Amino acid sequence: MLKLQEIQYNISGKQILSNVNIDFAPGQLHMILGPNGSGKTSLMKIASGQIENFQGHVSYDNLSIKEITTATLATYRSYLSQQNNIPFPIKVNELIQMGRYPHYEYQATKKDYEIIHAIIEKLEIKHLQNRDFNTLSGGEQQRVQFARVLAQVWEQTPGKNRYLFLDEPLNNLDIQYQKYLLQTIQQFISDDMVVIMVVHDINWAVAYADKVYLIKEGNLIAQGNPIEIITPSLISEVFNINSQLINVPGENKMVVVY
Amino acid sequence: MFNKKNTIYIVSSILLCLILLASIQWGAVSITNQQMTDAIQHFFQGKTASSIYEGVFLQIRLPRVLLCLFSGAILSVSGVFMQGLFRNPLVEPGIIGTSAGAAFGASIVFVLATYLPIEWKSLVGPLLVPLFAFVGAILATYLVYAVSKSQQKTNVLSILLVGLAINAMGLSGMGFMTYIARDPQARSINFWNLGTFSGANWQQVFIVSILLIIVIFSIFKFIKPLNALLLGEEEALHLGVNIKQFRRKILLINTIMVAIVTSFVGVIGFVGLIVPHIVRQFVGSDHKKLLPAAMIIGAAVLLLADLFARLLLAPSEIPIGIITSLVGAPIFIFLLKKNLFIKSDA
Repeated sequence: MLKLQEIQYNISGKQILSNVNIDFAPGQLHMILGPNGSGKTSLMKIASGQIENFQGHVSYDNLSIKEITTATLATYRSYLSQQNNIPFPIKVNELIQMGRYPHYEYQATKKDYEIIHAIIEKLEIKHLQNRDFNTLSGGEQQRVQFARVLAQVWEQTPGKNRYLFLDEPLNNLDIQYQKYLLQTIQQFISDDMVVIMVVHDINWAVAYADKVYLIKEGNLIAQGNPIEIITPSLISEVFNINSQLINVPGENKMVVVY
Repeated sequence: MFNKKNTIYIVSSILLCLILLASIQWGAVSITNQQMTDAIQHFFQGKTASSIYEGVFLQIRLPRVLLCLFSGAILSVSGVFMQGLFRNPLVEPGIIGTSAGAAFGASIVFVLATYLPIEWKSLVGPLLVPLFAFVGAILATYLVYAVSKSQQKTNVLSILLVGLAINAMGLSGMGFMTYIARDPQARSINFWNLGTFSGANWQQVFIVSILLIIVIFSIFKFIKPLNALLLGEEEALHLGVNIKQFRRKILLINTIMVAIVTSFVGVIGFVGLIVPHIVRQFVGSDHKKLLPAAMIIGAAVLLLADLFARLLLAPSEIPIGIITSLVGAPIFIFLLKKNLFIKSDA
C-alpha cells in the first residue's frame, strides 16, 4: 500500500498541490487524469520519491519514504518518465539491462539476463535489441523504455509490494500499441503490484482503470471506480467541456464522447 | 578467444606497447634494447650506470614516458567521467574551473619568482609551480561548486555555466600575469599552458601512479551510475543512484585527478575531449567497456603526441598541447560531422 497523506507542495510560493490524500492499493491499476499543469506529474514525483521538499506524508507499506534509501526503493519501485533524449549512442539491450541495476552489484546474473530475455519476448521488441536507441522511432523508444522499467520490478520482493509509475506511457504510441501496452500492464498486475499512471484519454481510463483520480489546479476533485464516478458533470468540472456517456450496444462498456 | 568484442582492447593494447617501446627508445638521444636491459640489470644489482645512455634511460626517458602514460589514462578517464556526469559530449576534464585555476596559480609563481630570495629559486620549477597550480585548481573548482550550490537546488547545468565563468576569470587572471611579466617569464607561462613532460621525475611518477590506482578502483563504483545517467538524472535516481552523493564523489575525484596531472605537466588540451569520442565510436557508451578502452587509448594517444613533441624539431621540443590540439581538432571535427549525419538520418 502506498499512502499519500495531506500532501501539500509549492514551487516558489505557487501552490502546485494542496491537501491530497490517496491510498494506492495493490492489485489495482490507478490512473491519474487532469488538465495540463494540474499537478499530475508533481504528484507522481512526490509519490515516487523524486521530489523531497513537500509537506505531508508518503509511506510505502507503512514505512515512511524518508526512511527508505534511494537504492532500496529502486529494488521495488520503477518509474517511466516522459521522453528524454539520450546524448550518446546506446544499444537497446544495454538500456533494458539498466532496469536490473538495482538488483546486482557489478555483474548481471543469469537470472537478470533471463528476465531481460523474457521481457523482450513479451513486448515483441526482439528485432530492436541490437539497434542504437537514438535511431528508433518515438513509439519504439517508448516501448523500449517500458521494457526497462518493467525489468526493474519484474520479480516479487518478499514482504514488499511492487510499484510501477508510468507518466504518460501511451504518448507516441499508435492505438494498436496503446491497447497492447494497457493489456500487458493488466496481465502484469498481481496481488503485490501497484500501477499508477498518468493518461490523457479518458476512455482508456474508463476501459482499463480500477481507480481513477481527477486533479484540477492541485486539488483532488474525485477518486474512485471510473464506472461509478465519471459523469458528464464531473468531466465538465475538471476539463471544461461538454460530454456524453454512451453505452456500447451489446457490450458491458461505456464510452465518453466529447 | 579473439572475438569482435575484445578486438579493440587487444589491438589497442598491442599498439600501446609498441608506442611505449618507441617512446622509450626514440628521442634526442636514442637508446638501444641492449642499453635498456643493461640499465635495468645494473639498477637491480645496485651498480651505478655504466654509460650516459643508461642514465638518460633511467633518470629522464623512463620517468617521462611513464608520467605521460599515466597522465594520458587519467585525463581520458576524467573526460569520460565529466561527459557522463554532465550528459554532454562537449565537456572536457578541466571545464569546471580546474584547468584555468591551475594556470592562474602557476602564472603567479612564474611572475613572483623574480622577487624570490636566491636560495628559493631552485624550488620554483619542481615545487612551487606544481603547488600553486594544484591549489589554484582546487580553489577554482571549489568556488564553482560553492557558487552553483548556493542556488536553491544544484543542477549540473548551473555547475557547467558557473564553471565557464570561473574559467574565463582564471584565464583573464593569467592573462594579466602574462601582461605584467617580463619576456622570459611570459614565455614560461606560455610554455606551461601548452603542457610539457620535459620536467618529469620519479616522484611525480610515484604520485601519479598512486592516483591512477585510486582511479581504477573508483571506476568499478562509477560504471552503473554513469550508465544510468545516460538516461537522465531523474531516471538515474529511480534506478537507485543517489545523485547528489554521486555528483559530489565524482567531482571530487575528478578535480584531484586533473589538478595533480595539470600541476605536474601543465594544461594539456583536447585529450580528455577527443579520446572519449574516439573510443565511443568503437565500443559504444556502456561505461564498463568505455572506461577501460579510454584508459588504454588515452595513454597511447598522449604517448604518441609526446613522441612527436620530442622528435619533430629535435633536439628542441614543441609543447605537447600544440600537438594534441593540432591533431585533435581535425579529428574532433571529423567525428562531429559524422555524428551529425547519423542524427539527421534518424
